[in-house]
Parts: sequence; structure tokens; C-alpha cells
Amino acid sequence: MSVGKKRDLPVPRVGPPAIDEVPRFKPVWVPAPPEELEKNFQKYVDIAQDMGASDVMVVSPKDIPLDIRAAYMCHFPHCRWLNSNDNCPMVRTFPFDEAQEIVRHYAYALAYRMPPPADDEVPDVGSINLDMYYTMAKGAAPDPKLMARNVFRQRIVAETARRIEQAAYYDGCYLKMSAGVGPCLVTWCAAEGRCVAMKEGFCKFCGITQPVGSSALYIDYYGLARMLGWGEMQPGGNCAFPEDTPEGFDYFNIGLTFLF
Amino acid sequence: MTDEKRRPKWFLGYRPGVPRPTRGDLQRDLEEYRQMALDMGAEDARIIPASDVEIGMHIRASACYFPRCPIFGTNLHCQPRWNAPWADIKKIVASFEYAIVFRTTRRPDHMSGPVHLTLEQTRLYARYLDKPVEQVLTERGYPVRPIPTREEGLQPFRGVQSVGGTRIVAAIERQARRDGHYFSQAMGSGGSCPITVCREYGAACVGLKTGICRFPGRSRPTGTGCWGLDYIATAGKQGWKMPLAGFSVHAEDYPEGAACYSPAVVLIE
Repeated sequence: MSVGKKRDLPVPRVGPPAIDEVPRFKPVWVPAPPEELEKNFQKYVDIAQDMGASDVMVVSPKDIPLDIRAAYMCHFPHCRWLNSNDNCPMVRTFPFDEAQEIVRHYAYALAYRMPPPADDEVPDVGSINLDMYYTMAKGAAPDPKLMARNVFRQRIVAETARRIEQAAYYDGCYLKMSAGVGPCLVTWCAAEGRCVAMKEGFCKFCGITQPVGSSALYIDYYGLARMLGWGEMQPGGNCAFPEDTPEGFDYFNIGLTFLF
Repeated sequence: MTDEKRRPKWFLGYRPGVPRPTRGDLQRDLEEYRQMALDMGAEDARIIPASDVEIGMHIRASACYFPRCPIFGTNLHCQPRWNAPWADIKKIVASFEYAIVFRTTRRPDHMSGPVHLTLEQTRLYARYLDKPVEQVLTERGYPVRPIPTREEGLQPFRGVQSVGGTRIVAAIERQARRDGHYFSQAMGSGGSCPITVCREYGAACVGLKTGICRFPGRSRPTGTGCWGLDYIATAGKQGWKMPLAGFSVHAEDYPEGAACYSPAVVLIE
């Protein structure tokens, strides 16, 4: 099983960053011609590789397999995070034909293959009480180290998507869009422990969170991995231990950022 | 005598397909609306075929959902409250013949940069952090200053006095309906209605709780989020280029004399 680099990501913090930490971009003039935007692809590939992507590929969104059954992966069996936040089903869904129209309109999509980080220790995922989420029925609890690594793994993909989106936007690609990987309650609000947007309407990490690609955009990530030659993707889970992965399968996530 | 002739006049005695009486010439009205936009403070206004208005479901998605917009779900005229089926929106826009497109001008420091853009959001963040907003701003190095009022935001810039795109589109739509163009549709411009209309009221939407908008005559559904309107591409077709505004684009980095534009569209049948 391939492993990525060890990354050090701080626990996401609510609110605007310190004014010194705000990156400064020069204003670009929009709309920019597509040939101007295409020149920046190498920059986005570098960002993904810097975050630990083992493979990056530019694909045509028309070739991305969409399957209506992908959304029902969240429903059957009932995902632990279903209905727990404002970006997961059944709260946030699109009709299949609208999702097709969204995806097919874009000119390019940047797909990056993110293997799990090579961390033996438990990564810092903030003050999230993992037992609270997984042992409500007092059943056998999975290894908390594994759960913390799962949270961290999804956070790496979310942070990669955020960095690529940021670079693309300030390059003039104002319609950039990333498919979310993992529920935003885990990737961004794990330390908060609940979704405020469900009750108050205002997301604490607005501008960063997005609906999940498989449920909102019906992306068949397993078919996509096969199409790109990245091997068979092992379905992840809180009880799916990496050492139990069958031969021929690999444990990784795919991040997707749509451009132009 | 046939059965039809025995029927009284009030029973199916109407004539379907009666043409609507036209009140005036459409081209003359369009020119009047264009002039109206200019008089109210638009920098440039044009009459375009409605087919030049760029719409797409992906614009709705990328503007509101991917990633989530800060205004999302906070008022009646944004997603997901105003969420007409996309098939209907396409049919509505395709049924129009003409559109008035114009642009209003804004100062860069009122549209872009971390200091400006954090002010409203920080008030909400401060609530979650359970601290006074001034403390949150000071801790993170931002200057503490009051939110610019509507009058400050609309002060003359480059010699142009504007009342804001949303007010202009609402006025044009109202006038067009009076003139007999009943189905004219205005697309909200220059931000969502909490910012453009209800700013003085703490950007709080009473419509979410009561169901009744505070300013139904002024506020309109946002063009991007509700109509899927690509303002930048529509303006680009008219040769209007604009510098991109954002959290990380500082106003002082704008070229000398450059302004932020807010394009706006009204569909006229």
C-alpha cells in the first residue's frame, strides 16, 4: 500500500485568520480567456503534490462516471454522518439531471489521488470526542487511533481542495468548484462537535465547506479510479483496518476540483 | 338548433387567444429603460438580446454551494429558500426577447480586501466564539472600525453617484410592468438582499421567521444564486472587464483609477 508524506495540518479555527496570515494576491481582470487560464495547471499540480498526492491528472468532466447509485451509498447502510450536517444528504442533494449539468459544463477537472498519511502516531484532530460518535449504542468501539487517522486523512484532501481553489480563483477562474470529500462535520468542524448551520443557517466555515461529491454530484469514485488507472479503491470505514485490505485493492481518496 | 346555440353566453362564451393590447412600442420602451438606468447612476447600460444572458446550473452551484456562500440560507432571496427548479429557470429565461444590462461602480475598498470582507462575518464568528466582536478583531490584528453604512458605500466614485444595482433593476422592472410588459423580471445585483437592502437592520432577514419580507418592493432574488446568471461572462460579452474582488485582493493593489463593477440584468419580454 502506497503511503503519502507526513503532513502537519493545524486544527481548523473558526473565524478570519490573523491579518498577517492572509495571503496577498494581485487583482486579475476577468473574464480571462481559457488559454490564459490553462497556463496555470502546473501550479495546481504542484499544490496537490506538495500536499502528498501520489498522482495528479487533468481529466475531462465529460468522462467522469456519474452514477445515481453513488448517492445511495450514504443511505444504505445509514452513514454515521447522514443528516448530521448541512452539506450531507438528506439535507443537501441535487436532482441527478442537475448534477449532470453542473459537472458536464466544466472544461477540465483536476483529479488527485491522496493515499493515507504515513503517521504511526495519532494525529491531532482537535477536541473531537471520538467515542461520542461511534459508541452510542455501547457496542464494540473501533480503534480511536484509526478513527483519528480517518478524520485527518479526509482533512488533508479538504485542505488540498481549498488551496487549489484559492489559487484558481485568484488566477481568474472564478467558477472553480471542488467536490467535497468526507462530511464537513469531520473535516472542518470536528473540534466543534456539531453543525451550527443546521440550526442557525450560518456555516462557521463558509467559503471552505462544500457538499460531498458522491452524494451531491453522484460521482462514482470507484469507477473514476479504475478509469484513471489508479487501481481498485478499497471502500473506507471506521472499522476498515488498512492491514485488512485485500490484495489488488488500495486505500486512498480522490479529490476533484473543477476548473473554468 | 344545435346544442351550442342553446347555451347561455356565460357558458364558454369567451374567445381564447385574444392578443394583449400593446401600450407603446417595445423598442421605444427599452430605450427608455436604458436611459432610466443611466439616470439612476449606472455607468453604462445596453439593450441586448436575452440570448446573450449567460446562465448555467453550474454557476448556481459554484456560487452558493461549492463552496458554501456566507450569505447562504440567511434570507428569503438566496439559496436554498428561493430554489426554483432549474428546468423552469431555463424556460423562463429562454422565453424573453430582450434584456437591459448595465453596470454600477463601487470603490475597491468597499468591495475587496480582508478588512472590508471580514467585518460582517466577524460579527457572526464572534457569536460562536462568545467574545465581543472588537476583541475578536483586535486579537487577529484587524483595525476596529464600524461597518460602512449604505450612504458611505454609495458615495460618489469617479464622479458617478449610484443608488445601487438592486434599486435600479427593481425600478426598471416596476416601470416595465406598468408599461404592459407584465412578465419582466429583475435579477438582484450587487450582493444579496441582507447586504443591499437590510444592511441598516443588522443584515437580519425577518422573512425567514415571519415569512414576510421587510422590503418586498426593493429586494429581488439574487441573479447568481437563484437565476444561475454568470454576471462576469454576460458583462464580458459587452466588452466590460473588471478586476476580480476577493478576501485576499487588497484594495491598494488595484491599478490607479480602477473600480469594481456590479453588472445587473433586467429581462424584458
